[in-house]
Amino acid sequence: MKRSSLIKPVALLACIAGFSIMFAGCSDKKADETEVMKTGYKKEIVIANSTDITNLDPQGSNTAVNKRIFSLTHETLFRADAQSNISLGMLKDYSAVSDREYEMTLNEGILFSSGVECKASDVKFTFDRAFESSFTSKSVALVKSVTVVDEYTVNITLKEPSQEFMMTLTDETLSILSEAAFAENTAEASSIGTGPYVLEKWVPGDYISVVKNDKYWGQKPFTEKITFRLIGEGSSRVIALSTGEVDICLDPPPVELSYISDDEDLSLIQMSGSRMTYFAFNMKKDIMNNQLVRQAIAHAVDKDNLIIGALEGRGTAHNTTLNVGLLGYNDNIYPYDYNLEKAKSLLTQAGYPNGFDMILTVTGNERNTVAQILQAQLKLIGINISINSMESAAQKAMLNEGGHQAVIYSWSNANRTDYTARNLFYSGSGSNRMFFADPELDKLIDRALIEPNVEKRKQLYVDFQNFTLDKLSMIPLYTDILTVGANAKLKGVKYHQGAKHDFRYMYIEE
Amino acid sequence: MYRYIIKRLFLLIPVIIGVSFVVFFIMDIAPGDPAYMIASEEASIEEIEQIRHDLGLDRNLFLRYTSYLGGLLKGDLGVSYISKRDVFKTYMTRFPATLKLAFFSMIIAMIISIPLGIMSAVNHNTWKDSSSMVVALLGLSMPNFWLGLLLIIVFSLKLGLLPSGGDTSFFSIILPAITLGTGYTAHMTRTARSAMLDVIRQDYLRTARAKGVSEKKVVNKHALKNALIPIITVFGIQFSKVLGGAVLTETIFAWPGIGRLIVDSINQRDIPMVTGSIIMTTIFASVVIMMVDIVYAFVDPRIKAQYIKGGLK
Amino acid sequence: MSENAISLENTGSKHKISVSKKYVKRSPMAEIWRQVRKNKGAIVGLVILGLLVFMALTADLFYDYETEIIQQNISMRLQGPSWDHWMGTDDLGRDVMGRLIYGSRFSLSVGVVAVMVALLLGVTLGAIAGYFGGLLDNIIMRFTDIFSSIPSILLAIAIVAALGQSTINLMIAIGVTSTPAFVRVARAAVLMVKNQEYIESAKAIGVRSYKIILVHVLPNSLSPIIVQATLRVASAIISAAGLSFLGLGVPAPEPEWGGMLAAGRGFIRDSNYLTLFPGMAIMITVLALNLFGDAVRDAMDPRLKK
Repeated sequence: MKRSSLIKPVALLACIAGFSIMFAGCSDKKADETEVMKTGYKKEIVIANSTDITNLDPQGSNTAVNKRIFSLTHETLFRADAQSNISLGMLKDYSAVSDREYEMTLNEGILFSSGVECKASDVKFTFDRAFESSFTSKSVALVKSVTVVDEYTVNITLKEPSQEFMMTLTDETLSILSEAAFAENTAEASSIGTGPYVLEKWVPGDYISVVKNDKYWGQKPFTEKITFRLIGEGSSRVIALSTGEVDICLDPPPVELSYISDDEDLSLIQMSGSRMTYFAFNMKKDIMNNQLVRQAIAHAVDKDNLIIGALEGRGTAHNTTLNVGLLGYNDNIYPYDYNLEKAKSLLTQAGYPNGFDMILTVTGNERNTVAQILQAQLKLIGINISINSMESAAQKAMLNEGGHQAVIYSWSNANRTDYTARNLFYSGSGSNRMFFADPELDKLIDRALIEPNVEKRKQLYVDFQNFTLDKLSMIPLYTDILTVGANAKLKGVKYHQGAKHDFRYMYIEE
Repeated sequence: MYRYIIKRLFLLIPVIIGVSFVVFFIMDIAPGDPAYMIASEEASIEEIEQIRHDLGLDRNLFLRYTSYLGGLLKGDLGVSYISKRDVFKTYMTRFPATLKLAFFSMIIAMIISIPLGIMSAVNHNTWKDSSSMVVALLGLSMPNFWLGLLLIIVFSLKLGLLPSGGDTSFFSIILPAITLGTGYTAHMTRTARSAMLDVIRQDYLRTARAKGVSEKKVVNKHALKNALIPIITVFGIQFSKVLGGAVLTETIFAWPGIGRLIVDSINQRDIPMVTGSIIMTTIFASVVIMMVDIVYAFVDPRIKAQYIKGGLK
Repeated sequence: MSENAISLENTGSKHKISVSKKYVKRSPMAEIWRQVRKNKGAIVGLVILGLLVFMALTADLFYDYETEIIQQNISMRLQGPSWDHWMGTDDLGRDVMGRLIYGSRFSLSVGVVAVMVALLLGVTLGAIAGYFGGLLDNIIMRFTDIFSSIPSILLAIAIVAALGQSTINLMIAIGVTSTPAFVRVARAAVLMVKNQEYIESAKAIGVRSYKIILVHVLPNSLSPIIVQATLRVASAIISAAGLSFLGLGVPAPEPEWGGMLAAGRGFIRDSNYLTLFPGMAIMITVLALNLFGDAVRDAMDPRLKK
C-alpha cells in the first residue's frame, strides 16, 4: 500500500505501472477472449431497451436500464459478477484495519474519460456526494468517514460493522465520479467515469450511444460502439431483432418468444430473474391490519393461474419475502397453499364471513392484469376488489402518503440481502409500502447485518423470512423469468439475473 | 408586411405567458409531487423534503410561477427535473423528428388530396365523386392509432417490408407518415373538393367557358388558383397541429418526437420540461399559421391589399 | 361546406371565415330534418347509431356483466374467432364480442357527455362574450386562444393526469379541450343575431340580459352549434379511445374500446383480431356520426340549397 506513494512523481514509472496494470487486467480475463481479439468484430452493437434511461447520474437513479450504461462508462471499487462473487474493481488492494475500518488502495494510472487521473480524492468526493442523494444515502448510511490517506489510498470507517459493505461498493450507484469534472462545471460531469466506454450521445427518448474509451486502463473492449435504442413496444423490439436492426432485444414480450427461438440466426437467453412482485397491504388501514384476513387472502391466491394469465406463464411462483439469489433465500417455508375452504374459514374467524370490499392500487399494464386476476380470484371468497389504476406519479404520491389499502409492487435486488430486508420491512423505511413496523424484526435485521459467520447470518435471514411470512404484510406473488433475444453470433455478454447485464466485453465476429 | 409580422409576434407573447400559466397550473394540481418522481424508491421523508426545498417546490404556486416567468422572459426554459438537462436543448433534439413526420405526412396529404378533390369537384355527382368522398369519410373516421397498428400488422409483420418503429432508416418514415397523413388527406380532399365546387360555379368561369377556354384550362388555371386559398388554410392549420399532436402516432411507431417527450414528461411530473415543450410547440405552431397568412397574400391580392393597409383583422 | 369546416377546425389563427348564414326563421329544426331525411348517408348513419344505442341499452339482456364481461377464464384465453366466440376471446379469456357490445356504452356516453360539457361551457362563455362584447369578450376570447393553442390531446392528457384516471375525468378532459371550438361558434352566432331588431326591442323594454340570451339570442343561433356538436361527438369518441389507448381513459376491467385495443396490441402478431375488432367498432361508430353530422351541416348550409 505504501509503495504506491513512492512512485507518484515519476511519470515514466507511472506509465510502466499503468502498463503492468493493464496486463494484470488482461490476465484476469479468460484466455480465449484475448485470443479472439485478433479477428474482426462488428463495429457497432445495438441493444433495444424497453424503457428509457432517465439521466446520466449514477447517483441519480437505480434502475437496471440506467445501471447497464453506468457499468460501461463507470467503474466501482469492487466488482461483483453475476454469481455475486466479489473481486477487486478499481482497487489494487485493500485491508481491514478493524471490523469497521478499511484501507483501500486504488490502482494507479486509472484515467477518467476526461484524461484526468482517478485518485483517492475522487473516491472521497464520490462518497461525500453520495450522502446527499436519496439513491445512495441508504447505501452509505453506515459510513462514518472517508479520509484520504495518500494519493491513492482512502480510509473508510463505518459506524457499525457491516457484512454487506463490500457488496454495497459494487453497486453502480457508487461508481467513482470525477471531482475535477464537477469542479470545472463540465456539462454532465456525472457521465464522466473511468469505464471501458465513453458516452458519445444521448437523445432522450431515442437512443444513447457509448464508444470505446481509448484511455481505459484495463482490458480494451472489442466492440467500437454500443448503442441502446429505446423501442418501447414489444413486438417492434422483436421485429427489429429479426430484421437485424438491433443485435440484442431486452425483455421480448412473452407471446413472441417463439419468433426468436424459431429463428436460426437468433438465440433466446432465459434465466430466472430477481424481481419479485408482491401484493402489499397497508398495515395502517382497517381490515388490512388483520393478520387472519391477510392469511385468508394468501390461501385464496392461485399464483400459477396468475402467472399464466398475466405473464404468459413466463414466471415462477414466488414464495418468500427475499429476492431469488439473496443470502438465506428459502422458498420451502411458505405456509399458505391454495385452499379456498381454509381461506373462507380464516375469513370467518377474522369476522368477515361474507367478505368485504377493498381497493387495490396499481400502475402499468402488467400489474393491472395481475390486479384483474386477483380481483377474480378473491371474489370466490367474497372479497370485492375495486382496482384503482393510477399513473405511476400519482401512485407514488399515494403510497408515500399512505393513502392506499393494498398495492401490487415489485422489488428487485440480486445481491444485497440486508438492503432488501431493511428497505422493505424496517420500521419507517421509505420503501416499506406496508408501513410494517415491528421492533422485534428490526432487531433481527440489525443482528444479521453484523453477524460475521455466514452460516449464522443465513439462518438469521431464514428466521427473517419465517417471521415476515407469518405476519404476512405482503403476499409474494411471482418472480419473472428474464429473457433476452440476441443475434446468435453475439458472444461475451455476462447476463445478470437483476437485468444488469455486463456488456463490456461482448462482440460479434465478422 | 414586416410591421404585420412583428405585430403578430408581439401578440404571441401574452398567449405564451397564458399557456405557460395554464400548463403550470394544471401540473400543479396533478397528484404526485415531482419530488417523489425524482427521489429514489427508498427515499425517506426528509430526503423528499430536501429535494422539494432544493427545487423550490415548497414555495407556493404564485412564487414558483413568477420565478419561472422571470426565466422565461429571459429566454430560459429551465432544466428538466428528471434528466437534469436543459429543456430547450432537449426539445430541439426531439423536434426534427416531429418536423420530419409532419412534413412527410403533409406531403402525402397534398399529393393525394388536391388531385382527388379536384377530380371529385369536376366530376360532381358522379360515381367518381361519391366513391372518393366515401373513401375520404372512411379516412376521417378511422382512429389513426388503429390504422397504424393495421399497417404494422400488414407491412411489418405479414410482409416484412417496412420497419415497425423508430427513426432509424430512410424507410422508417413511411408507415408513420401514412398513419398520420390519412386523416389529413381525407380532410383536405373534402376541403379541396368543396373549394373547387365553389369556384367552378362562379360567374367568371362561366364567362371563361363562354369565351371558349378549354375546360382543362378553366380548371387548371382559373379555378385552381382561387380554390387554393382554403386549401392552404387547412394545410397550414393541420401542419401546425401535427407539430404538437402526433402523440399517438409517435407512441405506436416509437417515433422520437416531441409528442412522446411531452407525454413522458407529464407522467414524470417534469414541470419545466412539460411547460417548456408546450411553449415551444405553441411558438412553432403560431409561426406556421403566420406563414400561412403570408402565403395568402401571394395567392390572393385582395388580402395583400389588406396587409399593406396595416394588419388584418 | 368547406368554409364551415375551416371555421370549426380553425383553432389557432385569426383569419376565420365567419359562419355567414341566413336562417329560415320558421321552424328551422323541421326544415333541417326535412333536408337530412333526403340524404342517404345520413339515413345509414342514423340506422347504425340507432343500432349502437340499442346495443348499449340492451347489452344487459344478452350478456351478464359479472360473469361474461368481467369474469376471466384463463383456460379460454386467446381463442381465435369461432362459432362460440364470434370475435374470439381476449388474453384473460373473455368474449371479445360481448365486451365490444358492452363497450359501446362507454364510448357513446363518453363522447356524448364530453360534448355536453363542452357545449355547456363553450356556449355559456361564447354567448357571454358575444353578447356583452368589450372587455369581457376580450378576456374570454384570449383565454380561448390560450387553451386552443395547447395541442388538444396533450391538454387532455395533462387534465387527466391532474384529475386522476376515471371515466368521469376523461369526459371532463375531452370536454374542456373541445370547449374553445364551441366558444367561437357560439360567439359568432350570437354576434350575428345580437343586433337584430327583436333583440334591440327586448333590451329597450328592460328584459334582463341573461333572459335575452337564453330566450331570444341562443334559440336563434342554434344551427351552427348543433352542427358543431354532432361532429364533435365523433372526434370526442376518437379522442377518448386514444386516451384509453394510452392507458389514461376508462380504467380496467371495464370493456372500453380504446382500452381493449391497447390490451390487444400486445398480441398483435398471433392474435391480431384483438386489435382488429375494437378499432372497427370505433371506426363504424365515428363513421355513422360523421355521416349524420355531414348531412346536418349540409342541410344548414344555405349555399348548398339550390
